[in-house]
Amino acid sequence: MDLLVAVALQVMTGIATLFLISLGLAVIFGMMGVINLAHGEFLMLGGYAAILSVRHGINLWVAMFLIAPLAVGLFGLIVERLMIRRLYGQMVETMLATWGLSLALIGIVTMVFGNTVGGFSAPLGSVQVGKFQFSAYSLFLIGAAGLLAVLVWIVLRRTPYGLLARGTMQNAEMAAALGVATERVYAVTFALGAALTGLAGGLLAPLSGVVPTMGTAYIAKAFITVITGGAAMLVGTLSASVLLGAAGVLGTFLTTPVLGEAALLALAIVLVRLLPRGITGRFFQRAL
Amino acid sequence: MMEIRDLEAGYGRIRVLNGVSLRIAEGECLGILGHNGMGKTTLLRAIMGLLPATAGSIRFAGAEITHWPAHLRARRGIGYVPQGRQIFPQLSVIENIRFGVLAKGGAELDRILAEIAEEFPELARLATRIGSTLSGGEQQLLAIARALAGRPKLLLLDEPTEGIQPSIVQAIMARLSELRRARGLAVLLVEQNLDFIHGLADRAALIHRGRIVRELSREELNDPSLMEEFIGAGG
Repeated sequence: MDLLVAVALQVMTGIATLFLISLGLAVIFGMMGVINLAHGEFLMLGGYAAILSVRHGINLWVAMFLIAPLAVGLFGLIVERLMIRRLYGQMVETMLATWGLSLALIGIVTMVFGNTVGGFSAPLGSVQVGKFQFSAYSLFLIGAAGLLAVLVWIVLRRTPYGLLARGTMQNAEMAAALGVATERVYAVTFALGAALTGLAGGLLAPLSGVVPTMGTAYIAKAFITVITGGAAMLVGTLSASVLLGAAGVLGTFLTTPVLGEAALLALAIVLVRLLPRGITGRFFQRAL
Repeated sequence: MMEIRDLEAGYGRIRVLNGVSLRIAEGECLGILGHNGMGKTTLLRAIMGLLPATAGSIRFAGAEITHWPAHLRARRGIGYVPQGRQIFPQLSVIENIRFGVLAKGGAELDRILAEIAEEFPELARLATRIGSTLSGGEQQLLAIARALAGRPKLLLLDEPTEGIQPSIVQAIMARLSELRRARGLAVLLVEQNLDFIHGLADRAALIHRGRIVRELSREELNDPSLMEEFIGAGG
């Protein structure tokens, strides 16, 4: 029984982690169609923003929940303005530009902070599940992922901005002809995706540690999750995170971490093969 | 209300409008007739600001708007119902209409929604349906309602009868003429359906190779033989 609970918690942590690293990309790629190959580095910047703030004596929660998303959101706003804005609708150019940005960010951060692992210890201590010990912070992460899903749903479904953003992404020209300053909607939406990514970076920093190259470990998984999810960006990313996250953790538990990763990828391939338009191309079609 | 002088516009190096001049008075409905490829849709897109003007000028509601971006023209009072309707396919009916209000700032949202529900009872019944699941006629009504939700002074209508069954065309015509009366709306109507122009327009202009080649008064619109002749000549 204890083992079952422990494994279940482990699985949920895996799902929450996958969801967190993918959510910002779901906005930027799933909703806006921008292939941001610097997504992993946005996560990394969030991690560094949190770590540096904590080192400078700022409260850890403020650093993770406020400074990391604000810093990366602001950075995203600048990147959109200077780079992405000129490249909407041009897939190859966008990939090249954001790949370049990714390499540049890794280089700059390595130069400034060195190629060493930074981090701070996870708060909240641990909980005892029978004879197993479990980090309370992981439980907190599960809650945070759930809360974030609800928040993003509310913003996109229930606010005027959310409606304007969804419509604009479906048909920007028509949105402009109805009176929407579409450039601003694009900028705000990109910044929102970047901020969510920064927040994820901050939240994951205590668990994974932060290195300049950490983005490369996440980016493929994030893209796979969003693509497997399909058109409905939020529900798609969530359901893909559940399936892939569970496969990854269970695979790891039953075999080795390497095979666990392989299980995650294998399931993604099977899913995309069976459901070429993603999970929400077939199920939950009316979802967000 | 709107005055266009010597307007030129096109796609890349291909010029489609070769100096269009026309005026629309407040509350007036001007029909634009012409065959495919003569510049009807291009004219509406240039007026809306979706296509840059390369020469000439557009004045609307007291402002020179020739080089304004589309969203500012919309906010000034131009409403647009494009060819193919272009409703937001993944938004529900009510969300499409809300979008029309919010796109212009969202003032008086509830009042406008109530007004639209009264004017378009069939849409009110379909409120939660997703746009892409509507029939062509329903989508056309939705596109009109969405444009009206922004309270325009001038409505640009691009082939509202295209691909719609005749019985619905009659209904749309009746609805538009009602709306015009009730709202004092000016309409620029591009259409190939002569009956539709005849039923709605106060006068019409014939566009050929990017130029207005002939204006038709209300009396001339009433003369079917003359109409046939001009349409023949236009082709």
